[in-house]
Amino acid sequence: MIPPQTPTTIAPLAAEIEASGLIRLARPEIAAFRRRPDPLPEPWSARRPSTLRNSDEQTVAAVAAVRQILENMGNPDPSRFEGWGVVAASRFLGRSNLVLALDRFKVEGPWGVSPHLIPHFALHAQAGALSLILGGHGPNLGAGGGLFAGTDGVLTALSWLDSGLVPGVWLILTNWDPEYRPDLDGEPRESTHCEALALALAPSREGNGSPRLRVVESDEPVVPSPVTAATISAGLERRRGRDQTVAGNWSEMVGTDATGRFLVELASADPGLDGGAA
Amino acid sequence: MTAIDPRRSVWITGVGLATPLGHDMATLERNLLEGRSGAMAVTSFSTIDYPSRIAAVVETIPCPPSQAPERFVHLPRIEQAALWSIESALRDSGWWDRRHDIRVGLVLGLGAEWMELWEVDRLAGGDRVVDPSRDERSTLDRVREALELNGPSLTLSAACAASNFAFEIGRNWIRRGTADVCVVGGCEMAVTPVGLATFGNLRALSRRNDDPARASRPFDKRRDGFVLGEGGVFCVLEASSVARRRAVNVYAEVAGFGASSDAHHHVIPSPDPAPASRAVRQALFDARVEPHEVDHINAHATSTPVGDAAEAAVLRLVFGETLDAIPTTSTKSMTGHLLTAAGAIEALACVTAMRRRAIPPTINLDEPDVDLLLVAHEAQPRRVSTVVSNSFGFGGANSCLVLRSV
Repeated sequence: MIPPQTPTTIAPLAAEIEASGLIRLARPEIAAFRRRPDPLPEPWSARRPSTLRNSDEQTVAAVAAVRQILENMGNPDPSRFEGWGVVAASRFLGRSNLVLALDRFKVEGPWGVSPHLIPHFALHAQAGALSLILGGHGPNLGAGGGLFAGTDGVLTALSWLDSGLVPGVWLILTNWDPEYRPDLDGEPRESTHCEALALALAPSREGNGSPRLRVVESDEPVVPSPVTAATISAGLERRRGRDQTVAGNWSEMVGTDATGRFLVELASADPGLDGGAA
Repeated sequence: MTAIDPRRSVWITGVGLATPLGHDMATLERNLLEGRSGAMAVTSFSTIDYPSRIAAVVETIPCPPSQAPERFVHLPRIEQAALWSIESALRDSGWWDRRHDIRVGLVLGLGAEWMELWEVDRLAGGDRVVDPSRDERSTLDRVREALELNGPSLTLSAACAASNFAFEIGRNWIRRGTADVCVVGGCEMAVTPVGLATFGNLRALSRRNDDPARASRPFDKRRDGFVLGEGGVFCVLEASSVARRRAVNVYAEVAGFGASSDAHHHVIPSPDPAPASRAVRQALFDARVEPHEVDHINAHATSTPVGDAAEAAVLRLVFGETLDAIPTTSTKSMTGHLLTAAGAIEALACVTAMRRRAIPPTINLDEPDVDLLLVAHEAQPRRVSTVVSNSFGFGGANSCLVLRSV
């Protein structure tokens, strides 16, 4: 029998947030972005816009968020990110398309079923499309897929960095706000926006002032709350304000897993807090 | 060969499965070594207008001892497969009765969870797909709760490469102590009316409808697509130091992992073997294994014309002339393509080769059209210690797992 390790004896998974980019788009704006001839700025991608032609709207928003983060970073040279992984945590990808696809199947049978369902609406699809658009050869992986997808995405990205599998991770979180409730034509029953957050994550380095993203195991469960593009982004905004008024270490929970036992936090760069990642 | 590092080595100590070739390891091993195909005509729904009407299906999934049969039978099939396989793996490892005393992690490869749940419900007249309030709990949440697992957990997918990624994350959680024990693997039940249609219309599936058992023929000149498969396959990982103290049955060491992306196309593998070769090289490096030390390769090869040839080029680029001495097989010729669970069932095929000292064959390999040392038709007796298992997927995802006997 092994002695179980108590949560407090284990260094939390943690990484440094180099940059972030948040997008909040209405459906017409997503449609307009999909038609752009240049999904990412030069010299990032020579991909034709048709790459996104059949993609889910969340995937298009995810690419827009990547464009935003690149702009926020001053459009850095792609070679700096060689080998970076892509982790994409979408929520309920393809719901609006599936409404139509399933009802069409009931009318037309198998020949009415689109061949694009798996390539564009399964969990891997967003990460695969982002990998294509970014043009990198680091691994790509979809995470989550459901209400608590954000936590799955964070756990995956931090695990990759911790193991040394990749030198950095593009972590992208997408969701509809409010959740997309389609009618029988696949159209939303109420106004909704797609939120997408891109984070550039790297192993924690001592002496670097960038905020950390980390996962902490709690001794006592808290009320579960999903990690979303908005909760992380809002936390980062608050942190920027806090830096101007408060010195010292800080941390802030931005969500949990579905059990409320694993907490996703933003934290200051004190290496004593996160134990340092590989 | 490099000695095992007890501080970092992670072992497979339990397996659980619901597959077209059996629901326990002994049955799977026997069927793999006897070269039996799990493919058959699909009969669970009418396939009259389907381009491909065959699949490797799991007909009835056993109810695990901890679950009430009258409730189990009404669960989604994905959940059934996951529950049976995960509980079986934990029981096999000896951890089941002690799971409350430790943190059991769960890394679940699952790619089309919501599509499959929405489809089943919609075709039965339901409205789940238009009612997000019914989707607040995922399969992961439900399985974790039903089996009373209390470690970290997540769902992931790199399409057909997913399971290998699950092994890597689980291995990392064990090494760093994030979980004491971790259940990793994949689960997909895609043989549904819409699932079979969408893969068929993608022209990915074999249309050899009149001869299901001979339809999946990786590396054969007359291959015409894969046979859709389904199932759930999971392994229990734990630190070698713990497994030694418990004196338990050990299946293999998870010795190395590598991954990369093609960045070429949503569906079509890159004609350039360099990106995928990076994944294989990374896995070998991670395992501290030289190419000539590899005893056997379980190829991803699904039986598609483009994919199999592309993988052969990848292997040649990595192994060079050494490849001529490494027996290679594709067990998808028998199991069909289990998609996100493919890497996990192929890990068990590798374990079979180690334990039984015989490499499972590639059946239906009448006329190879690639330059590999292929194990055709019948199992090949051979002492196997170090195995490479490739899994590639849509989205240009490439992964490679190295397993080593213990």
